Amino acid sequence: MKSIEISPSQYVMVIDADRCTGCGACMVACAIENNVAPAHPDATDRTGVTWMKVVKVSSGNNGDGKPACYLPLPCQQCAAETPCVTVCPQNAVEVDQQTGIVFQMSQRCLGCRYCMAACPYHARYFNWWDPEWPEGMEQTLNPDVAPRMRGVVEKCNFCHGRYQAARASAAEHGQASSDPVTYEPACAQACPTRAIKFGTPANNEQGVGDLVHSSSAFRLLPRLGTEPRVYYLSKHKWIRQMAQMEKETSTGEEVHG
Amino acid sequence: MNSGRLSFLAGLVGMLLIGWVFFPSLLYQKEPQPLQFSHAVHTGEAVGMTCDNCHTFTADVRSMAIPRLSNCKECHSEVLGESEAEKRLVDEFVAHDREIPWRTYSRQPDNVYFSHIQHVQIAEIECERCHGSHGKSETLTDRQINRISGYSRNIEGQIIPGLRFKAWDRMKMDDCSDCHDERGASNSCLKCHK
Amino acid sequence: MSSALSRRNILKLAGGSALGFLLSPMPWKMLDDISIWTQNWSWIPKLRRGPVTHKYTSCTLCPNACRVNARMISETPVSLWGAPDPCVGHSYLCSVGLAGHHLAYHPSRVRNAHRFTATENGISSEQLSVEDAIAHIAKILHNIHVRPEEGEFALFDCRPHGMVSDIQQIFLSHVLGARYIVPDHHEGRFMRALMEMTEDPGQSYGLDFSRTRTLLSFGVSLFEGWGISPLVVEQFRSRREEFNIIQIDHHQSSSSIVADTHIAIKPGTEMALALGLAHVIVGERLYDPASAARAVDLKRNKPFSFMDLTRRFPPGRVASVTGIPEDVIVRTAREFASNRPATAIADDFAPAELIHSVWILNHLVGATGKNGSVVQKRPLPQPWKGAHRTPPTRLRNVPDHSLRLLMIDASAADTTVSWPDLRRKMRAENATIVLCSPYRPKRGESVDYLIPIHAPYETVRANPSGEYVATSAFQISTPLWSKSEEGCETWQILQRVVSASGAMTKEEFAQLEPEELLRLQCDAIFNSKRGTIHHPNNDETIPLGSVLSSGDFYATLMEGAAWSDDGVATSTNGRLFLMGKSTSSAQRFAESVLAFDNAGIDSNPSFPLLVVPVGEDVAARFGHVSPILSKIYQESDLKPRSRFAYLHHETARRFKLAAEQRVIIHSPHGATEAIVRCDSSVRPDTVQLSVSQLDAISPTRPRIINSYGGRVYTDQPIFVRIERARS
Repeated sequence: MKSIEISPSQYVMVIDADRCTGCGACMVACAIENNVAPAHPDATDRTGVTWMKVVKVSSGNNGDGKPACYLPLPCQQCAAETPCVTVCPQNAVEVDQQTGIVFQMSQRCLGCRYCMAACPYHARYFNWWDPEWPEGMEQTLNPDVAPRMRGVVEKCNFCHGRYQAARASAAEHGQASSDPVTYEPACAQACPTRAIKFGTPANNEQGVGDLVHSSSAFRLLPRLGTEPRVYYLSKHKWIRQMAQMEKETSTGEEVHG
Repeated sequence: MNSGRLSFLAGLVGMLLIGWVFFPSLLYQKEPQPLQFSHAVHTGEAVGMTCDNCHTFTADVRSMAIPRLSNCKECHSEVLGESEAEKRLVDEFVAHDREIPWRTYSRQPDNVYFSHIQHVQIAEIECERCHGSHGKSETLTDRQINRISGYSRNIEGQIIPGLRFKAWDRMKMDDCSDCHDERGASNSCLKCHK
Repeated sequence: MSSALSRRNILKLAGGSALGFLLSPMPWKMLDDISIWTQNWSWIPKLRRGPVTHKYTSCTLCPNACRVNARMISETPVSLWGAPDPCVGHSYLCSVGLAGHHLAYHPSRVRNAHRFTATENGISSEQLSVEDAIAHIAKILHNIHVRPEEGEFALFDCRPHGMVSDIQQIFLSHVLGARYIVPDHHEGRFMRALMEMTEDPGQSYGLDFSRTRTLLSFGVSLFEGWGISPLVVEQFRSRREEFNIIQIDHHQSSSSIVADTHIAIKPGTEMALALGLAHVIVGERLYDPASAARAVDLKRNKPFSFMDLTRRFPPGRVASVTGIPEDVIVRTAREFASNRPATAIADDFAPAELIHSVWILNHLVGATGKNGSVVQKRPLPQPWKGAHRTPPTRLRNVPDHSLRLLMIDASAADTTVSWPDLRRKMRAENATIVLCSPYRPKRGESVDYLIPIHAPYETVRANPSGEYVATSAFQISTPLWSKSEEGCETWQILQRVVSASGAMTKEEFAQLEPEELLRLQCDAIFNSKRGTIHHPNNDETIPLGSVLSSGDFYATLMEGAAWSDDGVATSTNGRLFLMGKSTSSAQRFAESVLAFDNAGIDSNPSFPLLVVPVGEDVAARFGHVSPILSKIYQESDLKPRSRFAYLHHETARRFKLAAEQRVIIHSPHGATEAIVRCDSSVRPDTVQLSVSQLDAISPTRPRIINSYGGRVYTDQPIFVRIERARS
């Protein structure tokens, strides 16, 4: 298996699975930050839109004292052979060379959902319904993120709106646009236990540079060679092993995701 | 000229008239500005202001550098001249501390991210490069909103067939990316879209 | 030109037009614009623009009063974030709090008063002005005043807390015969139970986990953002390694997953475990000697004394009652007693005898009066100290069918009142219920009048911190929107009703505005000269003494600052009463323990499965929360759902059931439908059901619900059997 080194000036997210309490604050903060509408009455866990989705994973009786864990699943921002980019007939997915962020251009999206089929992490969501907010609530939309329409795919982009805002403030201080900037996605800011850390390994914000090399760090489905930019941490062996599993853990009775 | 050719011409000319004259006025909805304002007076020799006296750029891109009432109040806390517009400014807005609901000509669609600060301060692009002689205009024209797309005519281009002779004639995505190409700036989608 | 109308000419005209059309910009421009339109449908909301500002306030959704940093665009909040809180140490909001600014736009929000009348076709509603509604209600109150035999007038305070409840009590004391009703179970119960067991009268206590090494939680939702969780989360975040959490829980809750140890227990037997642990601690002399010296009960050995009660719960017996292995019980008791400072906690909504038993454990390990555990604090300085107040009556103590007019203050967004219980207190005929709420009544809530009040963040509200924090704190929840719409608070409606009816004996408070009341509260704190003020703007803390006037203090609080009291030097020599200070409370405790001891939990062979009630989706289903919480409760499978019956695989196999199968759940009291889900975390011989499924099968009400924490308590265990549904 070839391994592509992620550029240290690109952003990575490190999620400590042992610290996640499954409270869902990241999911709510994400939806508010990124103008994801409340669910349509018919939406389910398969048809809803949750850029950040926390799933509960059971050990199935072989957990070393930990019967289950929670895993927050944002888009894994694959660095190599990004599957959604490869399959998109519209060039609606782009990997930014500077930040490493995989970005979905919803306006260009055709809604064919090839990318959803291609994504090994089930991190992409299709808008089965028009986004609708209760009357008046549309005034509370975040001006930094454009709302999407029915019939297009969307996903986590490491709070790209916040990245741009950080860039603008760096520019205000005379910093050139090629320099990396420090910012934090909404999920990381909202996490009560600081289980989600974010930054560039080069700058080592929130210690991410050290954490990605720690012995408890792992990534999901590494054998696919997609080199995700989302790292996980766990001291529990079974959680680290689960990430290597032959089969994806999104269905079945032991995983509620 | 026979009648057949005449009817043909009548249809042709009629349609051309409709297409070139009536269609644009039908397509765009005119929205008058809440208050008249002369850029020329302010930037003229008598006052001698520059663009960035009022259009201040901060990292806060959402305010779009449209001056706030506080900019006006610095000088116009009470009536200075004789113009009707100034009287209205003081009576209706300054007196009640009410922001002027300016209609932004160059408001980009919601999925566009644009930061003045990066263009003006970092890339050192002149205001005229995109806004032309707006800074020397005597009056504020009506904003024209496309009834179908909802975009401002300043974005789509004043010249109806979509031609562009001067840099500020049109502000569509291709125009942005042309300039980015010229200057070697990145044309990645993420740079300007949100 | 006579031939101009010939067909040939018309065709030529059309041809010319077609060419002209193509040569005009019309088709190309339209094509372009329409394609833009399809990418950008006009009904997709447009974003607001304007400068970004930040406003500091505090959250009123639960009694924790978390500090809030609101991100505002053009005077409208777009997101809420936690702001630093020096009192608790944390700066985050829970999932419900993060979306608190949505509550003003909740789909069931009402802006007008309504009158509801029952008709043959159901309930019809009619809009009327608030003035008219108040006039109608005042007339009823006047009638009560003239003919008291027709029934009573009462106010039901859904969440008795702080200054507003205080005002309501004082106010009602001027209304002849008025009652002030509170829910049977409400916040602060756990901490208040301690006052019954310690010597100093009038002393308040708070929890200080900053040095706690072992936290023993009896089914408390530790991470759900309600009640105790900010304190727990802060320690979990900052000193995870030294903060050992033991969670005793009847199902695999999120707290039990995150805890270092999860002890799975049979529902309803938690008190037996607590007394079992006490048995081991006393038997092995693991208790703290200083505390033992203070505990009066450890020296007595009469029947029904503490020693007598704990003797009845040896580990072996507790193991058979609770389903927990004997060695786990002994090990847990040893760990709890040796890895100190240790604190045991129970839910505010837990049964009284469980709360009592948990405090016994704390007293035994010397948690009471120790830094790192249970500390003393001074209560919040109160205005109107000597004022006469109508004492609160628990809902269950209100005589049935006694109320003629009931006003309900539902300003707390999480209100989960047992409606049938309320109804039972009303007279059978001619009774009127007035709901003061920002939202329409939910299904099954039969009210006669609805008067709209402010939603959260729409007005100034006094916001004292919850009962758990180690020092008293006070902040003001300032509005996020500038005053645009008329609205009021329940106590203002109450004032207007009472004034209009002529039932008032004194005109006190009648003209006061909310701001003036807040100023009185600020005066009281200012005059105490204690504590510090923390301003989140610059994260600075200054002593209250350095503020010049009460007016300045008020202004600082209005900017989002918070006042917190100084800590108190804790005295550790007062006596401890393990059984309760008064004879009556000791007797009550002994009786409930003995009753459990005699009856235990018995199953019936025809109803072999014990119901494990969970309520993790309660807030989303019954409370008023932002619709965006659908991300957690509808669009993901994170929390157990109410349509399902969760079973262990073995149980499913034993009853020949398969996953995703439709089943009927029978209890001796009724039946309900569900869909089977298999989950290895559910104990064999139990079925995990959501609170909304209990309606049909539960013998008793009320079910006690902590709606954000997702806790459900039933008065009695429910046993069921499951059958396949005939399709």
